[in-house]
Amino acid sequence: MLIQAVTAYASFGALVSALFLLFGIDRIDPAARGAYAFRPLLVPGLVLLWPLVMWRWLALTFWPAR
Amino acid sequence: MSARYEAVGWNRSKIVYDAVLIGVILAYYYLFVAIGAATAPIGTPPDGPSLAMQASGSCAFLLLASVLAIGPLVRLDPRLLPFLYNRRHFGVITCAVAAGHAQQVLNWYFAFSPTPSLQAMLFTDTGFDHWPGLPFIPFGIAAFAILVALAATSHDFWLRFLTPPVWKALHMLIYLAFGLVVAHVAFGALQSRSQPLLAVLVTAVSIGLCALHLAAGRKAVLADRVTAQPADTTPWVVATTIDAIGENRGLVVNLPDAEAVAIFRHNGHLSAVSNLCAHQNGPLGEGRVVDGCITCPWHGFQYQLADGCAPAPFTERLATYRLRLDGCNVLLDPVPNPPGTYVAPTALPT
Amino acid sequence: MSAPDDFFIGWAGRLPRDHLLAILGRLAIGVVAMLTLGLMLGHGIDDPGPGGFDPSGDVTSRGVLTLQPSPILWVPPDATHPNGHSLLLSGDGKRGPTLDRAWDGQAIEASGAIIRRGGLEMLLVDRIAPLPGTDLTRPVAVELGRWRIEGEICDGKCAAGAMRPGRGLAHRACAILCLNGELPPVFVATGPINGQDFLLLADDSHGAAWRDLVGLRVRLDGAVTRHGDMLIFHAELSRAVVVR
Repeated sequence: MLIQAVTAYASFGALVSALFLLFGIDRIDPAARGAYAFRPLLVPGLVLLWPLVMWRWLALTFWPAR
Repeated sequence: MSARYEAVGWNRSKIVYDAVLIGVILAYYYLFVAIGAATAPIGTPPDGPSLAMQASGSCAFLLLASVLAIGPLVRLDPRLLPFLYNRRHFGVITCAVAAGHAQQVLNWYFAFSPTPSLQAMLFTDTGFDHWPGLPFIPFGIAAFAILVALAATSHDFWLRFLTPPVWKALHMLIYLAFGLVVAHVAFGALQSRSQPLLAVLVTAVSIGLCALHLAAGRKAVLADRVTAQPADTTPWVVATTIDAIGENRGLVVNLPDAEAVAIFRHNGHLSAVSNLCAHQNGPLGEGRVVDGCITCPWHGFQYQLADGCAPAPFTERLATYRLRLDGCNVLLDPVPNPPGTYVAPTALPT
Repeated sequence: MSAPDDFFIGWAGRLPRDHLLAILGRLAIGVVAMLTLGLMLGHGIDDPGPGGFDPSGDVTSRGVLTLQPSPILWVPPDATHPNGHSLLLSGDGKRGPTLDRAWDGQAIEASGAIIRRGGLEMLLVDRIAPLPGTDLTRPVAVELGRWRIEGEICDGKCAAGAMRPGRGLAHRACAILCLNGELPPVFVATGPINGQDFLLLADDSHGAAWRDLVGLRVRLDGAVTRHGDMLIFHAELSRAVVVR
């Protein structure tokens, strides 16, 4: 049960991670534009913290001043 | 320091730092297994995997304690700042050694069974209701999970993405991880060891770390900082006197209910910015003015005095503050300007 | 770059001289301390006790198979064991052997590696087959009365030396996993009982009932019976006391 939950969490995290690295990161962080070598390093953190990532992604997209 | 992110911003200092660290870990492993254990006065040696997990576990514990000692050591003796320079690599390498330990345990104690090893590790021993025999492995798993989370969020991107306060709070979990590791050892290895060395070591390291942090905390309280005093006119406060700030140096001014401010003196002018470096919250006021730029003592991030902006092509910005002179007193407006706001440096009387 | 002489900037790659000396001093202390501790901790490892795989390789034994309380092969007397001897049986890894229940009480031939620690001997069954028409008798049970014994509940395989250490609290989860895999639960006594330092726990649950006590020093009460050179302990769970 727990193993399945963790697998589901990580799978969704992998999806969020792929979308974020392909489409999100360039829009919310200017320093990421044109920089690709560092992106794989972010994957473990994105998979682990995807709820926080989604929250910050939304916040920075809609309220960039914050 | 880069305008555009790199995977790892390698430079000579970092390469030397990591090489020394990895060399020490390999030497530790060799001394533990090939010399220490091989000459141990015992009849039968433990099997290789059991020996390897004892070596990697004790090594990870000592590395974790060392990485926690760096902060207070540098606070007590700023000459040791280079230890802090690449502390994140130290943390990531510690996490890798802990991962090796976990992998060895998984591949030995929890392998060869009809139950998958991860499931076996999580669910085999769950008797939290009795003592002695309290499961010690969950403490280790929790500590490792924290180390992984911290290592995974160690790139500069995360600091900017999560914001410095959130990132800092997340990384303070390292102290919880250390506590969990102590519990992991206390309820595990210490229960079956007949020799007192490990118990003495864990106790001494824990007490030593507490003492270092207390000493560093005491020094921070007594440090070269001043606290702003109320002035006659609002919104100004009396920050300090002109003489208190040395040429090309900073002074940290504590404000009641707000972030500390760093005031710098350079070429007969004063400028004030937030004391927290936009990179990793390093104490800018303890830095210097180098090439006309405020330079952080931690990683050498630089900012222009007048507007708190990092020189192009870098993009970090600091909040700036207004200053005014009243005789030999330096008055400060405690309300920060938006990061990067230009404030003309205050000329000192000649 | 005009960095002052007493200020370190990492990316500039230069270090003021007195900083370098301070750093090298602390680094030397740290490295020597770390390496000395590695040496001392390695030198201070606990003795896991004797036991391990028999280096002479696979053996083939003939005897009577008994499935209760755990799979045992009773081998009749021969030149090496004038009173006969008993082999606990194990499968691959943390599993009991794969056996046909109809073989219970039958003569069989089994071959595989041997793990041995003192009187505790286990055959890791590689091949096993019944020997139809062979007449071998199992040893007669001798009642040794009621005993109160102090020791540790272990899985028979790791305790015999499949893992070193194969006992103690640090090994507890592994032992429980072995018992879950239906390896025989054994009670390793703190002192010899009738010449033996271990007893096979008579337990239909393959140690499941004793799970909470595995790896701890416990005191158990119960009847002991001897079958050939094997002691079987009919310990009473309700009277178990954790000593430490």
